[in-house]
Amino acid sequence: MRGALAAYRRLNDWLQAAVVAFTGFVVLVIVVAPLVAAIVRYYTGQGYDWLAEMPPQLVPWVVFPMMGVLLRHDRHISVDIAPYLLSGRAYTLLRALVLAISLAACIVFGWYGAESVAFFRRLGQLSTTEIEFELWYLYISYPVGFALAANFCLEALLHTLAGQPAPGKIDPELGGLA
Amino acid sequence: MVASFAALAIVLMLISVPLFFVFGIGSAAIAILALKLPPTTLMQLSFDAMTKQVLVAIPIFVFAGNVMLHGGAAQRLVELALKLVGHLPGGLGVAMVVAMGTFGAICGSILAAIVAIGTMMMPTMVKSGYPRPFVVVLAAAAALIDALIPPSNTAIIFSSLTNVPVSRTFAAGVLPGFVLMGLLVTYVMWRCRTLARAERADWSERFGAFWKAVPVLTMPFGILGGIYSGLLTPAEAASFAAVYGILLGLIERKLTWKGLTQSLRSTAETTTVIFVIIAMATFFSVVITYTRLPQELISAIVEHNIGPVTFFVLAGVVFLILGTFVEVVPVFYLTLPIFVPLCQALKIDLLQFYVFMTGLVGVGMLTPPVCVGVYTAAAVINEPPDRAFRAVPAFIVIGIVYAAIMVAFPWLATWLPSRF
Repeated sequence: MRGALAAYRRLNDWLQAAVVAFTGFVVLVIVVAPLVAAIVRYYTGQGYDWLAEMPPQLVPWVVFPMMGVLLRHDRHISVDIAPYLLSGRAYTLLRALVLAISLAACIVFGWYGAESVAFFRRLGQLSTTEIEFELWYLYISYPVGFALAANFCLEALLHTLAGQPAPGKIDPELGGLA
Repeated sequence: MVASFAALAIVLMLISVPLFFVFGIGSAAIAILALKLPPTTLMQLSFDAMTKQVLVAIPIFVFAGNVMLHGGAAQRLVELALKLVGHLPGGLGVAMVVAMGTFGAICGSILAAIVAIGTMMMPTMVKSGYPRPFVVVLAAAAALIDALIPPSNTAIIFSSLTNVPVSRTFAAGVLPGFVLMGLLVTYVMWRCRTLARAERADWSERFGAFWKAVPVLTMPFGILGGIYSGLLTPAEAASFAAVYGILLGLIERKLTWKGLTQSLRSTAETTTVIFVIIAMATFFSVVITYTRLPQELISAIVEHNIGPVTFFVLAGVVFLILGTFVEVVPVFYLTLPIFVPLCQALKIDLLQFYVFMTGLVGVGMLTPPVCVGVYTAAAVINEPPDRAFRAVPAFIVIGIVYAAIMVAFPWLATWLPSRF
């Protein structure tokens, strides 16, 4: 059991590294594209709408895949009254309960997300942006993100139930919430 | 059924389920089971909310803040602030407040400001005899100026929820930001009047520090000048700030490859924390719209003849209580769909309401149990946060005084936006 959990953790460490690399790259595109748009507009006098439209469309591809990584490391915003008051076994049980609820929520949202994506795919709805694309390409980030999150939640839950430490905290390289 | 799902959401919140799930589970359950809305509609609405053009400036400004953090910009601002105001009573504290305010004009990220400026100022303050709890809470409180001084992520979120142009919301925060800075400086000077002061720097030292800080100080002019001249959109201005920050860090040889990749990862994390709440809070907005809660409240206000001042007092109490338990972004999404129609009914300028609520919700970042500002600042000098809490009440009073000033003098928020 211990060996299986260790292997599961290693797999998820790899998955996490892939997600972090992917989202980091997407962030880089989001950061650079608006400046390129401004420079092109300034020098050619002609604006390319797709350069301005692309960054917002990429945001869900950062948010949903990364959501699971943050769940794994307990880095989402929550009201910390109960953990503040509890310790030891009571705290472990609470953490297991929260992870179980999160896992169930991920499965439900992921399921609804997959159904919605299938619906929009059948519908063939197109974006209203300069470069047209089928909207389900955007929406698929939703079930993908919740599937990843369910996987990370399950791992954290199993480790909590086995009495093993949860995956380590990410370095506190703080960005800024507000 | 609506009441029971709302109760479920409150229970989930109290047992520390992540807030985006609290929003998502409670509101989606009401929307799908009670209001019979199809899940596809909810998903489409949440994507529409996340992909608003105005909101994309947030991750870019967060990235700019992270690059500044790793690129040495904060150090120049601290040196300048020390040379300018370090000799005043409580000089180190005053310098931290001023440096935080200036840093806010280039990054707009509260936590980045605490880490960037606090890492340099707080240990020095402790060594100079400033009480540790006071230092921690002052750093967290001073960072609130960043929520007002543009560019500010809270302003962007407010604009996305109210359709007030970002340029106007940015401008609305300038004078209130200086008011908050003035209140904090006054309190620091009074509170630390007995502590030893630094020697007054001569003008050549001041000029030298200013000269070194010029590349950083020009950045706000680039950002805001670009926006107000109509040359750049907020996202483009943010992108300009980020690339400028990278170049500055590379030229100064302070920004390393590791710093750059950490900035990207950190930005992805912060963006996720904010936007996943936006995605799920949209469900809540849908529920509010369908249950006609704002209309009910407007009827109650008319019925009970509630005036603007009473409304501000009631809203202030709500913000202080919510801010104690919930972070800034969720508070905006929880309250604005309800309060904006009420403001319009009472003919309260939305910009006045913005600076009022930002100050009070920001105070919530200082009050336990949810006070990420204090936790972050406490971590900088390894002070247990529960010891730091004893210094919080004075800053709550400052927050309330600030809010009262914003209610009494609405022109502080509306005058500058009216100039553009």
